[in-house]
Amino acid sequence: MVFAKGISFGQYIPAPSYIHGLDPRCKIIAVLVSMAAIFMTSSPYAMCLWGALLPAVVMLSKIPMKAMLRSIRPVFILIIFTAALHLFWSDGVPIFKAGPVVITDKGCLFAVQVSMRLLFLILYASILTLTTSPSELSDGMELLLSPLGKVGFPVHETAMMMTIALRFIPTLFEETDRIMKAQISRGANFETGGAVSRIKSYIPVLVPMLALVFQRADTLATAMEARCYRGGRGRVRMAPLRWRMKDTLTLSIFTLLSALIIIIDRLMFA
Amino acid sequence: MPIEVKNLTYSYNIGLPTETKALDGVSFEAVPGEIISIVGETGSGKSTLAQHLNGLLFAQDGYVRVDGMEVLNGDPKLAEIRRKVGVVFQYPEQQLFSETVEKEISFGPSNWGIAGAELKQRVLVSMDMMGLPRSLLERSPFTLSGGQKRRVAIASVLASDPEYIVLDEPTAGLDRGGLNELITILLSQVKVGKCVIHVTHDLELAMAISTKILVLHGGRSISFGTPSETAEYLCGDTEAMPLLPDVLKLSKDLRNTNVTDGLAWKPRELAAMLIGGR
Repeated sequence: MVFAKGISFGQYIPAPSYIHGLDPRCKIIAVLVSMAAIFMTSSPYAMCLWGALLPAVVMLSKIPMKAMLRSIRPVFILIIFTAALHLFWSDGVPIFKAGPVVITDKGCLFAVQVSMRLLFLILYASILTLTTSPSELSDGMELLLSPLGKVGFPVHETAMMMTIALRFIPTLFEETDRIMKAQISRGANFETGGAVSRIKSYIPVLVPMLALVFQRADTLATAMEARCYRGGRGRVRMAPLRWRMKDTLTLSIFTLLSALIIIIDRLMFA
Repeated sequence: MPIEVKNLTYSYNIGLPTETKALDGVSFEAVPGEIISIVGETGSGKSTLAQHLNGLLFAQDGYVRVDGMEVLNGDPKLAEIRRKVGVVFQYPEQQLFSETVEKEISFGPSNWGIAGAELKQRVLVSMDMMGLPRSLLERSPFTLSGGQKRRVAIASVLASDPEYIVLDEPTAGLDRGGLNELITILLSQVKVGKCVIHVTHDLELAMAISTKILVLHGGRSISFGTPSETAEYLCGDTEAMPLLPDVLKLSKDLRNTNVTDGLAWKPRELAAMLIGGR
């Protein structure tokens, strides 16, 4: 019940927006650019600029802010944990001391930097998955990776595996939710107790889920074979992807903005 | 004391483009000794309603009360409500996880603190109730046939001895024999004073076994009453046409053309009317 509720990372939300209409390859490259640029920047000014750019991108995508913020939920603990590690275990000038707990100036700075980086990485990446359907995403990946096919890399199969994995994320969440509800109805408790008892309490969910996943995989493989699927050989697309002027324009603007943030970061930090 | 549902409203994905109103002001009441059927087409809100009855979902507007206790998120009485209201989901065999049938059936009651001889007794009684031979006690539930798996899953809910038993499409995928057996079990539970709430899309089955029927359409309740009241209401409602069993449709046409003067939903009753009319 609580587990699957509100997890939107990886879940496509259809909307008639500018970003939805972009070629998936453009969005994938833009996300890779943003990831590299976020890793290359570290000053608070750069983080403010990433933060200022985000609402503009979200507005263009017509994805409600609520859905965007939901995508942080699954990794919120990771962000807090990483921030805490940097806060308490960094060198620098102590600004707060209480027994063994020492907080330094650099610790504070690193904690903010790292948590902001993680936050923006997730938010920018989730714009891709929230605005691109799984089939578009895998088509885009397949075309981007197609040069690797020349050296024997199974490009189509990799893309198909990705599509299936992405397609089944919401289904598996639904199944997990249903099994959890069934076990809660039989008195299972997932919300109280210590760490060990909580982990143990998930056995009644994990065992049926594993059985279900294998069963589904088997059914899916049979259904694909029954429809003559034999990998990428001779396979054509119903709606081939088309790279348009607006994709070039959007990618250029986004790359320039990212470069600008990197330059500002370097100048300010220097 | 009954289960009271008043003006229950619930939407999924609030604030998102995919927001869907699953329930819109639904009200009904279920008292012990009754078998209530919740009927509607796919997407009418039946399963959402069933999940409100033991606090798997919580009312966004209106309320659900079980024996006077309101079903509220985080309420300390929630565990007691869940103990009183057992829910059997569609394809319940998919929830099995234990190494043996005995452990699987005892999972529910042991979560409610029942142990020792009483626990063993409950496992055996619920196995008997579901027609499961005791030789299966030590077997892995995963090695059983589909029908046996389902019986084990239902037995595991009955073993907790809930006062209200909610079954969400329990007959999905069952053959005629399995269906009849399950219905006999449900009726026996009603006879011992339990309340059975049966979610189904099969109005014919609902009319045959229920004390009262709640018909949902697009998240709204369009009728709640005895089978004859439901038949009378639905025959005058065009929205409910796809739900009407063939015998009832024929009976309605015969009444409209003055061949008969009543409504029947069982073939035998309709035949008796026709013979009587002649």
